[in-house]
Amino acid sequence: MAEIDRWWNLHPDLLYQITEHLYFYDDYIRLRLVCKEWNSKLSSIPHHKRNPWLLLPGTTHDSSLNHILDKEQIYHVMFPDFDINDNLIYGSGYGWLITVVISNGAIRMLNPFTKSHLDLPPISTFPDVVRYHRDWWHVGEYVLVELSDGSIYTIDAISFHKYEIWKIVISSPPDNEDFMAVAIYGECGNLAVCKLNDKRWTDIPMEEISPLFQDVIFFQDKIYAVDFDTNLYEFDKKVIMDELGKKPRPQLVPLLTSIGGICEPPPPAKLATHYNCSMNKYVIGCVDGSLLMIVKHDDWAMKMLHICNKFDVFKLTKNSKEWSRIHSLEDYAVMIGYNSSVQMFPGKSPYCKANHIYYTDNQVVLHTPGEPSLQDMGILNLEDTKTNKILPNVEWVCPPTWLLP
Amino acid sequence: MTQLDRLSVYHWLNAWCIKPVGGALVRQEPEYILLALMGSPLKKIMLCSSEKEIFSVEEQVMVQHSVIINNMIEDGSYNHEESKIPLDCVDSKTLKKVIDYCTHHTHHHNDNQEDLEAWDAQFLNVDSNGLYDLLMAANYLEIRNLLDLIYGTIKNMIKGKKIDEIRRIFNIKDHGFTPEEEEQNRKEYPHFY
Repeated sequence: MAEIDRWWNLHPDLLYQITEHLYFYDDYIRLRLVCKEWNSKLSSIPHHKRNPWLLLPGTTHDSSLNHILDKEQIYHVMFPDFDINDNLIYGSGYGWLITVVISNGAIRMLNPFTKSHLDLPPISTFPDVVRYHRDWWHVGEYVLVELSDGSIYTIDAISFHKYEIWKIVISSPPDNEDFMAVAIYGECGNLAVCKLNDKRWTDIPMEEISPLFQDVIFFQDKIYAVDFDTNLYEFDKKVIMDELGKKPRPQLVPLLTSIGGICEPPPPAKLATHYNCSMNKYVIGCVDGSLLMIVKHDDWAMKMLHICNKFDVFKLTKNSKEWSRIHSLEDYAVMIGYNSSVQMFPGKSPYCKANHIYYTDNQVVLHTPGEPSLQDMGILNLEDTKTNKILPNVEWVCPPTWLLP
Repeated sequence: MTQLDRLSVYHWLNAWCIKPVGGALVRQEPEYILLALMGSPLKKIMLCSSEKEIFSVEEQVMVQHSVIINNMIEDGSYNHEESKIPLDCVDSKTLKKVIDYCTHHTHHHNDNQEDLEAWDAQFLNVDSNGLYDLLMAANYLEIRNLLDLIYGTIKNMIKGKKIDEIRRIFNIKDHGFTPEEEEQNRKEYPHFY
């Protein structure tokens, strides 16, 4: 065989092995640019990479950022119509970001790796929106919003777009026909779902008037959500999917019992709450079928600068009747924040360590609207409970979030 | 060199005042390696390159490093008296190098990390063709640590380099992109060129 063509013709398995040994995404891109053969044998998104990304929304002209981030590991992505000042990221999963456009309430999904994008139904289609209104007495547009108890309040559209959504989670990449997105929305922290090509978001009805959900995940064909009081709720995704598929679109009201409700196991031990402290809860599905609940305790300083104090981790093994407290994640790491809360297996990766919690801020309500703010992001080592803060002195207009390809 | 039986080995060792310590005693001479393990005579296996050249190497060494050879020995498909292991996809030059690697690592596994790494670096100081042959051989024989070493080297050949330089290093004369595709690539990732 001609000596010249040998590397060019490298077997896909060996090429794959080479990529397994690359730690920088840039080098992966380089491999794909070297020759057509390698380009065709390597997917544009390195699915096998276990390294999580921290998405830092900013502009390349932002000189303060450039100074701090002058390392090879930073990969710049250009999105021509992504305005840093007009977007907030409220979800991330499977390599996709879910953003809300502040000026018009559009909800978009963006993939920084493939540069594709698609739209979800806008905020104006959320179940609690009565209507948008514009009149002489108010500056700009405002929105009439209905609460679960029937009362109506008004709020200016810009603020509404910023604060209506707590988090959006997707079940899979959007090319999957079972794709579903669930959002925690509104004053009362309710859940709403939509499928691809839906025109509106559909509410998941609850008996509780204001459940105040704080996290939701798709796990093993179910939807699990944890509320303010650390109660775990379970919903059947298939049932919801089927109902959403019916025409005309029914309200999900009669299905409350069949959709799901509070999970059998009672919440983990009542956590002491005290003044000026908030707790943010996250729920994560594990590979062995169990669920983790992470409770993040935040202390607020006067300037809305919250500092993370500690974490509690609870585990609910499959089919178990109660939560148990655990102090080690063993070989796994978890990533929480605006991203879909996930468990990761870092293996030998130098960028993701086992038994660590990787967290970003997901309480945009605490920040002064329109102004850049400091973010509470860090990496907690569960073994010695020491935290490494991430970029603690940088202010962000749009908070960073984890992104897993 | 003829096989020495156990008794001869023992007398030889006594004559030289070398006492077997623990289970094994290994003398580090390339011509012959003596294993004074209670009971096992010296065992060698024959590896045959694609050019039909026969290499005699200590079984222990190859079994330790190559999963393929280890499996062959274990499942009994290799008969010590008669057979040789044909390796039709490995040429003599590469086979010798592979044997070199395995032998060195077996005998020097107690060396300190720095020395081993230095030796490895020197070992892999080959051109891209030689590296390709080594990769194929290590992959075929399933020699995990040699593979990791090779992939680490490849990673360094790619890391941070310009695309044209990578093409030159890997001897890729025709990249295979159409002119339009190549131009598109250069436009999208100008800092890689």
